[in-house]
Amino acid sequence: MSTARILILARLFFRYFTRKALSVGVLRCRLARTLLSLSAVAGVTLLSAVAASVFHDMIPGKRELFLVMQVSTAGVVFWTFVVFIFVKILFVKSDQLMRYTMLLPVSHRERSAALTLYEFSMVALSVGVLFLPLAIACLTRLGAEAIPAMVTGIFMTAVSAYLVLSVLHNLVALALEAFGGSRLVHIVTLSLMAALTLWYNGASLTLIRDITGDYLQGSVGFHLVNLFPFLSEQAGWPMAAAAFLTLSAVLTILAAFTSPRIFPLPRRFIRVPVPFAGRSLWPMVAALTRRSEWWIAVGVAYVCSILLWLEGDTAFAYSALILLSQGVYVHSAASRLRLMPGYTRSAGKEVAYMLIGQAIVVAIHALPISLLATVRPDALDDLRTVGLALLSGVILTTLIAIVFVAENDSPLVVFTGYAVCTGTLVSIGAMVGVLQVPGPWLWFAAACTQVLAVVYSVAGMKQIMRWKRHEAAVPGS
Amino acid sequence: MPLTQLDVHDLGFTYRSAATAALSAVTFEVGPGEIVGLVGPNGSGKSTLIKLIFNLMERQRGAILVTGCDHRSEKARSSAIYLPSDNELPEFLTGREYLRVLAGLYGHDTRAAGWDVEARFSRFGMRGRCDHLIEDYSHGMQKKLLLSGAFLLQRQLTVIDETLNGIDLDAVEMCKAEFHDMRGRGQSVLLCSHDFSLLEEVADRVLVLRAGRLVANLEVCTELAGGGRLSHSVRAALGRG
Repeated sequence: MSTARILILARLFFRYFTRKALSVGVLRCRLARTLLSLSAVAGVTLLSAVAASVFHDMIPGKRELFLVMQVSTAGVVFWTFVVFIFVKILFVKSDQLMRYTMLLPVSHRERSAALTLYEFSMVALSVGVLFLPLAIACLTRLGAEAIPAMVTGIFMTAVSAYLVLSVLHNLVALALEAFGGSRLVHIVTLSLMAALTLWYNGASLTLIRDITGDYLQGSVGFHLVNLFPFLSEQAGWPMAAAAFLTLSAVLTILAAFTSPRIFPLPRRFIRVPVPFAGRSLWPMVAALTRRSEWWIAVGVAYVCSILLWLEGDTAFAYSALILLSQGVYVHSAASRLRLMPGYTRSAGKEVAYMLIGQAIVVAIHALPISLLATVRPDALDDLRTVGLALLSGVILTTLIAIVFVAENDSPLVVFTGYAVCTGTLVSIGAMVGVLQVPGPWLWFAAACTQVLAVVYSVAGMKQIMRWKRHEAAVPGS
Repeated sequence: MPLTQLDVHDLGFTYRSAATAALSAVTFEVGPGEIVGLVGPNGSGKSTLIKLIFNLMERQRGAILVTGCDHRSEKARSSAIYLPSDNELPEFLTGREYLRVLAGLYGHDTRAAGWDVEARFSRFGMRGRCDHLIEDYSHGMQKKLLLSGAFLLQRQLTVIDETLNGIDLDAVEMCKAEFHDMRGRGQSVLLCSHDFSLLEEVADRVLVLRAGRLVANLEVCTELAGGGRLSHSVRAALGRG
């Protein structure tokens, strides 16, 4: 195993993903990139200042800092989960790059090591940036005294969480490989990781409550995520460091030994039987249903709903809304259909197909979740709301998919789409809350919004079609 | 039956980023049952011409008639099929499903005689693969699928943009036989290719494009008479003889 080759490969991955991210929309412009970087720096500075100001009163001494760091371990683990999944998705969507690395004179172990190095850098960088304001605020408040607590609470927790996730991921992949399920490796591992993240997100509130409860009782409890702050408090900072090094070494060895023998090249589609072939809507339904990501969303939605159902929570039906996460792909999923010979559809018809196709696919896959309500009738009210939310979500995500076309599944565009979607929903929710609009008017406004979204979708589709036919040409020449 | 399957008259096109025209004053015809080759150096405007014929880019100057109708009309669209040089196929479909969707788009009855996907796949050396996802097909198999679609649909005009590159020798031989049958049925083919031996065998005429201009319209029989080679004639037409 050559370290030089590992570093070259890790650098190649880093360059590829950076350039892929920077090749989208306004980010191609140097000025836009500079402005965005400056905004990010300004944002971190502002958040640090706000945190420092708040902590000035909140953290009078080490004990309070210790509580803040213990509580932040819950967040650190959550964000490690999120970044881990994000990086895995990036690799799944970069099968061409992975195929290319197969042609290079590197061994599989070197490729795996380079991948791990890249993943680790991304996790460390992302968690570091996210918790930078907190770290700066603590340092400003307590000086160098804050460093051990920050290292145990943020750095050690993030690194260990990443290594645990890597081992878990590899074990699942190995098990699938052993049972002949190599084709499903990415779908299953990502579904499990996403379900685990959602479950952890739900459990983290209890975790934070327990940690705070311990603090109020004057004791320090062990909650797994706070392993290193706990050890530091109980046995001292050197003991925590020794435990961290030992655990990291063991987990790294485990991760290396459990890494799959060959990198499972991702499959983007699954051959799911889709009935009613020959109908004009069939290709659209097949395009949506056969994407492997769709089945990740289905898996996560089902796992979440069952977990909530078992816990006795009537809100389990809302898990069906997870299916809408795939709505931002509705335009790009059918893009190859539009390139077929003889494919000519008006913008209105194309939008109608996207809406109806998505509605059918979402409704069919939400059906098992709604069946859970038959044994719990108190959830039937929620079911009606979920139905309307799904319908509205289909319209909104189709509009987002047309406005932010996720060509080549660009992660940045997809995340922008999700962000705009969430932002719009939060704004509408806030407006409704602030304005206290009477019920009938609220329904009327909601219906009008949906109609407008459809109108804008058609206008957007027309624009895309026009642009595709005119973009290369000099007008009027 | 119209006099021509494809009638291009005074066609001109300029790309936004280019100082010179990609196509200027291009005029030619393809008659029924004719197989016409389209050759020229890279960047001479071959793909631009094909995209304009299929209305994939907005025509700027000139006129294009497909089976006697404006190329944007419904009738023209359903009379012609275009096989692109890149395999941009819906990879989430199986080969059989792709062909069925294609038939649906062209309003072709899949129960009609001649629509035998299994047999077509077998002839192309892809027995038992028609129910596999296109994602799992090799580069050559994807090209064969594109060709299968065109041969099953039997349109009046088939335009092939270098689709025959990368397929095996048996498949090329089968394509030649198909072209022969198409000629017999009065169907036309515009074949964009750099394979002169193929063009010598199947084409009636060869159009030569250079820097967006049609510089020669060569009768293959005439060029081959007396032991001549098509490649020499084309080089001469391009001013490289």
